[in-house]
Amino acid sequence: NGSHRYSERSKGMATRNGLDGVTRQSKSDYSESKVNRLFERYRDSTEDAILADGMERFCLDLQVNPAEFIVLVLAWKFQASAMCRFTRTEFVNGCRALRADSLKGIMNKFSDLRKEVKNEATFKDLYRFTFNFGLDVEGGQRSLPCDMAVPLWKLVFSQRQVTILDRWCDFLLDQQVRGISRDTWQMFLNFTEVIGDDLSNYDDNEAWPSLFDDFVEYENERQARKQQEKQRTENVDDGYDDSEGVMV
Amino acid sequence: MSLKPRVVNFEQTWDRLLETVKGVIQLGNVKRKIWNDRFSDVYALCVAFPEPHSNRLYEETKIFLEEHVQTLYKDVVQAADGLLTIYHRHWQEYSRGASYLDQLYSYLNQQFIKRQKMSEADRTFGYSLDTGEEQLMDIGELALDTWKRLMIKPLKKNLHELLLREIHRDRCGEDTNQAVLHGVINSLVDVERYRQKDQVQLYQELFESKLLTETGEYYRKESANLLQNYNCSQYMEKVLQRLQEENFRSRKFLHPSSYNKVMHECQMRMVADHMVFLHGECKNMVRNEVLADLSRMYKLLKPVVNGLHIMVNELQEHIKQTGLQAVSSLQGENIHALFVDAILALHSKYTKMICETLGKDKVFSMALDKACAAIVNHRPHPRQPCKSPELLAKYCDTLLKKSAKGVSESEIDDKLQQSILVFRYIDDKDVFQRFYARMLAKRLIHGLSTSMDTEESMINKLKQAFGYEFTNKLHRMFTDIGVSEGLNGNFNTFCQDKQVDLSVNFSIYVLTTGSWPLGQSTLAPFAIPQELEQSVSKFEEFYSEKLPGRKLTWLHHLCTGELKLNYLKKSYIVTATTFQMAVLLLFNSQSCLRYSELLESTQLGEKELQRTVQSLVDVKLVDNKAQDDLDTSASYVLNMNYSNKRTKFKITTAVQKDTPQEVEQTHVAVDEDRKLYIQAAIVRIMKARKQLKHNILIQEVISQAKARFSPSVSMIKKCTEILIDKQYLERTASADEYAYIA
Repeated sequence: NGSHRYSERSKGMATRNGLDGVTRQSKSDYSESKVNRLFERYRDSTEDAILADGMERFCLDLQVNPAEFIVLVLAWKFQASAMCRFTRTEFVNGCRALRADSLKGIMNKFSDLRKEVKNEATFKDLYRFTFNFGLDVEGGQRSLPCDMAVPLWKLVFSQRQVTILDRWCDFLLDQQVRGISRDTWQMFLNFTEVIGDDLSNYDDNEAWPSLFDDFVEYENERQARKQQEKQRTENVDDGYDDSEGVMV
Repeated sequence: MSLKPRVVNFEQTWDRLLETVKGVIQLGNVKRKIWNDRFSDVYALCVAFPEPHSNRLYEETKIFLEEHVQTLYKDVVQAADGLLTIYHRHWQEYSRGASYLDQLYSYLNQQFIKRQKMSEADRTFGYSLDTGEEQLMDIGELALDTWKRLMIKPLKKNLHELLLREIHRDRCGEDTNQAVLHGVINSLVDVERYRQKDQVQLYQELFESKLLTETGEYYRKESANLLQNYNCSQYMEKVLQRLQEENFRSRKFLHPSSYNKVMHECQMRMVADHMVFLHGECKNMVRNEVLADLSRMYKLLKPVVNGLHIMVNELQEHIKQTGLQAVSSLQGENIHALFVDAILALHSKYTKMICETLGKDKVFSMALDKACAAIVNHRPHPRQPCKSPELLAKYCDTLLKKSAKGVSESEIDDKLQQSILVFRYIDDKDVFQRFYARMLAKRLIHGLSTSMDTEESMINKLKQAFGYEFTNKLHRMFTDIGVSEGLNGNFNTFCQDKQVDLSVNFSIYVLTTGSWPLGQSTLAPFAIPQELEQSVSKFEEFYSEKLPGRKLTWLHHLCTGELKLNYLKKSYIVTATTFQMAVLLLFNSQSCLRYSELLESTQLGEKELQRTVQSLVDVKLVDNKAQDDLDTSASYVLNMNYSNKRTKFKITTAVQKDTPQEVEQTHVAVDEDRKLYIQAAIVRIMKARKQLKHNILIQEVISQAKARFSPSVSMIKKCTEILIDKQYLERTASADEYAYIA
């Protein structure tokens, strides 16, 4: 059942890229052979794809850190199906979509890309892509392990102010949550939009995934404990004051 | 006398007739002959030739009646103080006279007046020929109408004032003439007796409305007065007394249509107006269970709209608190019995209270049910499961086990019947079911049941209370036991036919995998003792021949065997678990065995072996040679000096006892069941509805699961997430809505 659905999804992506190709080919200010040559430069010796090693060199030549936001955006633009890996089709289609056939060309598109994902709808697409990007589908993963999810969250939100994110990630690590399901991942974007930093808006009778229930409860308890401790120290101070008063 | 119309002299005849009419209306002595003659006279006048005198007769009679009533009126008005008495006397006479008169004139009534009278239908539909002309009436009606016009109307003011004064005097406990009052008051209705409808209209306008105002006023003052002088309890007592008196008074004087109105007025003024006060006092009465006051309060508040709800709530809260207090302090080995007894005692106490004090009112019974449910399902620690289902199952277990001594079967049956009452209150029925099934399995396998009849009747009770599905598995467990008895018989024949000698008595239960709460995961590795190998393999052969394709799994940890100890002074028969038996049998060939040897021979897991050996050491059948703790290097010898008062005994109990892990396991198993149940419910619902908002889905699931258990929202959410993950469901664009993926 599951595998059937995944194949359907990838079919959908293929047609979309195909359409992109048709519209872009008419303008021939870039050369596909140059792109292929570029690909060859980083290609792995054993497989027709750029793998970890090639990726590192590619990033170095683009003068970016592989763990930077823009690399994620680039992977999204290339519709990379897995991390640290561009297949030839992905690479060629991606360059065609960017209309860039050289390192310089790609680098020149960075600012456009950054602008593009500022748009809410596009960002949502990027955000959803990020989950699949991190998922080891071939390894049979259905949910994202937390040690993968947390850095990806931090990365995807790195250009945005999401104050709740740190507390969320702390919670995940502290409670040793194992995996993040696709639904939870996708709903977290809604969560940051609807609830934001102020957890008092949260209602666990609404359709939030239960992990958010746990998070809000955890946070509230933590806040209450903090409050108590604060009060206790204040009380202790008061106590000292009182005793001083009596002594005087 | 001829009936033929003839010429009649009206004056002459009317003079004759008038004499008699006077006599009749005054209830004088009229001889039958004269009555008959006058009756004929009326006839003659009506059919007179050439012109009938009917009209004239009617007019003359009317004039006579008017004059007569006017005379009476004068008499009444003059009477002043005795007005009511005189009025009453005249009315008694007049109203009876009028009805006789009506009979005397019956020919006129039937032939002349009836024809001119409008029918009921004409009147209803507004068809009226002679609007200006006066309606002709039957003579009886005419007489009463005359009374109304010429007696009641002019007396109107005097009448109601006097009547109200008399009633007031009666309320103050003074003497009144009941017959006169009743007669006068009811004359206001009687005088309208010929009317087709609204007979009480005159009565209401002239008297009743004023009476109600007066009554309200009187009791407003009265209740204010009472409240100043008495406390709540006394007040209620007084009010009840007043109400009863007033009810009696109504019946003494008034027309039946007024009874309820007067009562209502009294209740409004004395109860409804002081509701806040009464409700305020209610709390303490309920807390202190002042039965007399509660009974009064109930009687007072019952007829008032929305009067009871505060009392109901107070009682519910009170029962709940009392119950929680009683239950929370329970502890000890016997806690299950104490718990059930406490709930039953509470229930019967308050049922009695509701029956005897609170009029068996349903609203209170419902409050009791709610309170009991709250107590039974109360969780002292929100994160821990509720204990009640386990306690109740334990309670049943204790009753059904052989150990329950000195209790007759019918007593046990009674107690089980009562336990059903507690069972009905339990929300987590599935938890009870699990525990019950596990305990039943133990009883059946180890033969611990007092009687199979009682077992079965209990299952039937549960079935009645909760339906077939609930007891399905329990029934199948029962069937397995029955079937197994037959199998054992067949197996023995099989062995005889094949001329196999098993050298041991061998009997077996074949249990259907899904029906018994025996986790396969607990299967321990085990090498069957040589002595049993033949039996096991022969049985497998027999079974696969009889029912090919079925797989047998041996649950050795549940089996027991009987051993005869021949090496001691006396010979003993010991019932042991298979594991214990396996260890003991090894001593047949060796008198001293090392732990490692035991391990190797039995193939048991270390923990299981240690537990088994320890149990043998504990009952002193085996000695640990080194007197050390259980150790891998320890070695064991038979205790050759063993002695026991009994020659037949069990050493299985320690091993078969409930462990906390088992309780934990049961709860885990229930949780797993619930998750599956909820997921199935969600899929069912979503399949039917295609798209559904989150909240509606939650409601639907809760209502479907309610009969088995009350699911937590968070569990439903988790199940929804599992289904989203498995791609049975997806979120729609609106994020709080799910869609079914076909």
